[in-house]
Amino acid sequence: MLHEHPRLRGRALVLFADAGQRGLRVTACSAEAAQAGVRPGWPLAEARAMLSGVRSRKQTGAAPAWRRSDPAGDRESLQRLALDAQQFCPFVGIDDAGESLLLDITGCAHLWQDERGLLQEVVTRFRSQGYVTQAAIADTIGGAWGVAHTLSKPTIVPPGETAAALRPLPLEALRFPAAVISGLQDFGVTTVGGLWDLPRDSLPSRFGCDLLRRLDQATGKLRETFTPERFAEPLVEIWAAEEPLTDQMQLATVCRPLLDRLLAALMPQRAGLLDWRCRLQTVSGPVEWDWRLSQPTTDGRHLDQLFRLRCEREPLQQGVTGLRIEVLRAGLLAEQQSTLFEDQRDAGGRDLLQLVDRLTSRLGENAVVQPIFLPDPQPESSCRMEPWTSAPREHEFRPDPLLARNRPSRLLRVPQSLEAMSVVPDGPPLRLFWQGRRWNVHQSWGPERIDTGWWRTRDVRRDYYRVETEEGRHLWLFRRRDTSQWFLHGFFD
Amino acid sequence: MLRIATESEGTPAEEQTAFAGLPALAALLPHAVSPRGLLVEWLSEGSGSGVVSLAARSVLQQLEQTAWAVIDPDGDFFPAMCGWSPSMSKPLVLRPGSAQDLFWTVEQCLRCPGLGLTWCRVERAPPLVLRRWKLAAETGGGTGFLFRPASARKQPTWADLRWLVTTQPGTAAGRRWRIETLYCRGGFSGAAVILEQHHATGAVRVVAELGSATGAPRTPQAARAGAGAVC
Repeated sequence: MLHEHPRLRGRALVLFADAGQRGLRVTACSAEAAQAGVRPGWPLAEARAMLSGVRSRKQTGAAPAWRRSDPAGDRESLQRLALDAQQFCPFVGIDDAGESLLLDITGCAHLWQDERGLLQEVVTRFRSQGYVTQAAIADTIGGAWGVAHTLSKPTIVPPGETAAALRPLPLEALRFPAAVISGLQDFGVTTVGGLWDLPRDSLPSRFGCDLLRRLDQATGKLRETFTPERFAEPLVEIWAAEEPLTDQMQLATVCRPLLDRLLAALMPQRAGLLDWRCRLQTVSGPVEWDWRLSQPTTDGRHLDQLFRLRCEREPLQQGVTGLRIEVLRAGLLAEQQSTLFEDQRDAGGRDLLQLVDRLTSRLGENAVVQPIFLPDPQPESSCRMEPWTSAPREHEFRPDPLLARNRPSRLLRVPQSLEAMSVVPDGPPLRLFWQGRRWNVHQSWGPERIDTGWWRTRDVRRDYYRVETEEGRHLWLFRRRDTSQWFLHGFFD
Repeated sequence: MLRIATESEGTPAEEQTAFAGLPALAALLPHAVSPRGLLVEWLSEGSGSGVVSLAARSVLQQLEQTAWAVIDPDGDFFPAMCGWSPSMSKPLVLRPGSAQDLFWTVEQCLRCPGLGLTWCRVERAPPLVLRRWKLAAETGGGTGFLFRPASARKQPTWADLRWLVTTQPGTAAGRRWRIETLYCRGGFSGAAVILEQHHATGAVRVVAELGSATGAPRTPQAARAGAGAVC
């Protein structure tokens, strides 16, 4: 969470989840929140009261942040880290609780000189990415887990000494459930060594079979395995030639069967191509082209068109000796009832999305946009253009119809300075000097006063006028109230 | 049977006539014109002439029912008209960087059956490009609006219709335009009408003209539209 949202660093962060009848409960908290007294398992209301009390007493620091916990998202993040950690060893997995990474470093330590070098490298790598890292190397998974979770500094347990290393550690080092730990503590057992001193035969009947399983896994009497994370099998098609291809149309002809093969590979999963990358090996070096489609497609002709358009937009100066097409993202095809005759409405929507793909392929994503209205009184900030392929909004703001009629159809990106004459100070303009000629104002409407933007770089204090020239043209002007300077901002075309 | 039933019901686009939002404009034409495959040139002089809002009002119903695209090479299009009606769909705004890209973009949009209306402000376009646009519009079945300067009236066109919009001094109630048919495929040209748009309500009405011996000839349909009728 902190890694993905750096602005939360230094703030008391509390994650919570719905615990059914017990209401919202804290599932995890940052060190700042823990310092204030918040603990996992607390009711959320109690944590809020605690943090607000601390804040009001100190009157310093940023406001605490509250986020709903996302176990699935956490799991995905951990999977990404596991895949990233495969640079150290080929087998990297996630523990049962979904909280820790497990690395099987058998036969890999010598690549970093020894185990200490490997451990140091792992810790350094994760810390450089902003993670708080606790790590340990031991003979068993349970042993390494216990040492890593109880000792703050990276530790290496020498071979054959795992049991001795675990003996002074608290019971939490053996991955017992909280109820078992609580039961043992009631008996006065607080360390792993204390547990081992108890008669082994009497433990299952009192604390369950899981206790002995964890105990044996930690010492190595019971074999423990984990499932390593694997990269999804990449969908790639490759073409190579000895002689470089210089003709773009020939290149497109080569590309088409590769695309068809990729689409055929996706077909059994009822999936279509969504994002794909083409890596062209040219004489001077590789060139990469990426495509992001509006919807999953299995239309090879459409993909072929996109490739040809890209060839037109970015003609290659060098001959191509190799082509590698990779599926970056596939999407499930929309289920639709087949009909005897095609529904024109469905076909229209599909045609429009394919048009967007073609336009994006040739003009670029920033040239195929849609207006997004914002509730901002400053005209240039009231509408933002976003790529058409960006995610749609659920509740979109719509401007007021009356206001919309008083806004121009062309708004200059940068208002143009002009000279204007008024009869009275701060009055409407009667005469304009713009584009090297004089314009007499026939009538005007206004002012529409806009005072806003003080929270941005500078205040916006303007009096807007809609003026009609003698020729019948309608212009949108404003006068800056601080400098009394006139600007042309738009045209009622 | 299904096909027959579908055809007999008729699609909404077939039922519509062009410029349904401004009947006074439709009345200037010698016959009812379908918006399918229609390419229209709007000629006007200079910025701030109001031709875009007038054109948008003439196809307001079309804008509410279908997707539409605005080719905006200068990047100064402001979609104020999206606020006119809550049911109006948002435009696909395209910003080609060069003239070649502009020509290609307009053709692609006109050729797409998924777009009901394509509009573009273009100053110069070779006749060959205009011909391609006309064929593309016929293929796609949508409507194309080209906003061009008045100086383009001397250039040949492949459009089905060519309006000349001349701004006139407005009144306290609203702004005025004189709209003249410069060219209409399959009919006579020269019919003209003066329209006034009310500032507050946005309603457009025909302004009564005093009789003039030298005035432009008007078609019977234009006369039928009547003076003072609210469109």
